[in-house]
Amino acid sequence: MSKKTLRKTITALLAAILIVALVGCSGSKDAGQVNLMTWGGDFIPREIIDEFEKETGIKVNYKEVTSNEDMQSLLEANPDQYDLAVVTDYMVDILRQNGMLEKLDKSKLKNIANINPVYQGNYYDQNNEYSIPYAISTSFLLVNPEGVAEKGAKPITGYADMWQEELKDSIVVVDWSVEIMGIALKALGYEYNETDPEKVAQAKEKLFALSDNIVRFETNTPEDSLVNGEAVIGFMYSNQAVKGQAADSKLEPVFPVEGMPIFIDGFVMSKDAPNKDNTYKFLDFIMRPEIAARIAEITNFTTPNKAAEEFLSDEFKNNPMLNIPDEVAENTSFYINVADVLEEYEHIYTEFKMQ
Amino acid sequence: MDKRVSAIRTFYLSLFFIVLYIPVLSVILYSFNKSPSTAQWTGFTLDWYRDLFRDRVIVESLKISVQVAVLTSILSAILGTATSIVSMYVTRKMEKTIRGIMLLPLLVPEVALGISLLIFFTALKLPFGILTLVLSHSLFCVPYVYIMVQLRLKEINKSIFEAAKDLGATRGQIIRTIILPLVTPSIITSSLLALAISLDDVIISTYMSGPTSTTLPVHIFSMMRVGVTPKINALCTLILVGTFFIVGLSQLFNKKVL
Repeated sequence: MSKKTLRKTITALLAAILIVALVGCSGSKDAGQVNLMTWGGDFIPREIIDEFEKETGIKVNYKEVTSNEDMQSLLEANPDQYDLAVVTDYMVDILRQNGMLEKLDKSKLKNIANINPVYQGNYYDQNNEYSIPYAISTSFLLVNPEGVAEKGAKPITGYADMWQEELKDSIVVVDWSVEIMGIALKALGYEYNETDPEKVAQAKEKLFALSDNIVRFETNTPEDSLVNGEAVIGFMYSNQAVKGQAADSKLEPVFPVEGMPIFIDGFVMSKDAPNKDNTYKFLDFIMRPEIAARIAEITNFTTPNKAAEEFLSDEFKNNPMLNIPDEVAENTSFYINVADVLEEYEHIYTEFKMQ
Repeated sequence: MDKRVSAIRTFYLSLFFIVLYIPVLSVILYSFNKSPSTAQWTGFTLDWYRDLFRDRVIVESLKISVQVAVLTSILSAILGTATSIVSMYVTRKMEKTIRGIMLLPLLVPEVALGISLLIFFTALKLPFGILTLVLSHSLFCVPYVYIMVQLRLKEINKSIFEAAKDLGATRGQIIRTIILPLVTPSIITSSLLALAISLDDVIISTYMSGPTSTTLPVHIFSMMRVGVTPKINALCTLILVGTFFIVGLSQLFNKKVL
């Protein structure tokens, strides 16, 4: 290539890159903003954010992310780009241990008293220093009582009842090894994520006995199998169960007597957060009882905000799947140390599914 | 015998296309379903489309996605074409090396690529946003342009260049007046491909977008935690229509060459 054309090509390339760079740099750095990172959709409803922006003049930049692990990588690579993230319980633990989190200054959060103590002081943040619970979900059984009776099985009260012979091909479950092993472990009276090889072996055997009763593994829309009559029992997440019941009112939730898993998504602040003061303002706004109530109604997640209860609609308040009674909430447990058991459980689960 | 073979062939092909496209058709169908659940069909509605266009976040992220895709396809068209023309004028060994380097980004798992780019751009102190999105998307779009232009270049009869040289044309003139016009259809086809690939990307975009620049696919995937609404069916339908349009357009350009 001649020198002239080479030079021309290089100039053209540089110009192109420059143009791109200029477009990219247009993001301004105002004083008044909060950089938030969490699940997308309306996990933190836009209308609530709009209201906060209007009231305070602080702009909220909402970065949407698809997994807890992505939030971890992003936060650890650029702790000074994000103020606030909403992550699930176990990730609070990881981020805290890695020293990524700011200790929250409670004196700047006057609404923190609204948070229900039932959802605080958990293993990932025993002294409530680093996280504020925001959204709670659980998984439990959604049951079609008529369907169960028609098959001649006795009513369902817990996991153990899922093993009845009459329930052949009539259970739908979410498709995740840790949760399904959890069902078997709980039915035997053990805890989630058991590592004791003997107990795991028992759970494996128990699980294999359930195989005939499961008609479908479905993570995204398990409730549909109950609505269309394919299954009479479903083990699924609370927001799916709520949707299922809304589509078919004869479906009923059953909180297993053995206890159920719980997931708490909570706010955490980056230790290098660039806009700490604005972040405190945002957190305090979110914890206002009437705001928390509206968030719960929009997202269909249980709110940890005790004071929000009086602002909830009757429909929400009287729905035990959404407004979990405290005694049910106390009979829940987290999936902890997933990394320790995952490989073993996945192995068992794959074998189980191939049956 | 012949008839039977052709019947089997038709049957196999139709089965193949049915399996391939029925899920796609169901998305289109359910985007018009009144009930938000996919378990029942309760009647025809256009509500989801109306909701879709009212959704500020979707419209904004679509804007960012389109912006990134257009810039990516321009940048990768320039880089890919330049590389494949340069590799015409280097030694065999060098050409092989260039090809190896160009194809590498396609072989590296996207997550690894995403994380290494994240670390790299952080070290460079580049602000995460449209710039980083375009640069990273170009990384895996350039190879497509390179491959397609290269294929076209291989087809050109070498004696044309020799004739041009005999008549006193400089390298620059050859590139400008012979090579570029001949590969233009390939450039257009491949940059349309780059456009589609960039519009699709989730994993790298997750890492590369800054606090204010979420792309549309990332937005959709990040909704899983909350639950996907039928709005997304409507959106998928529109994206499908758009993609078919782009693919059709690129086919049209390709036909003109052949």
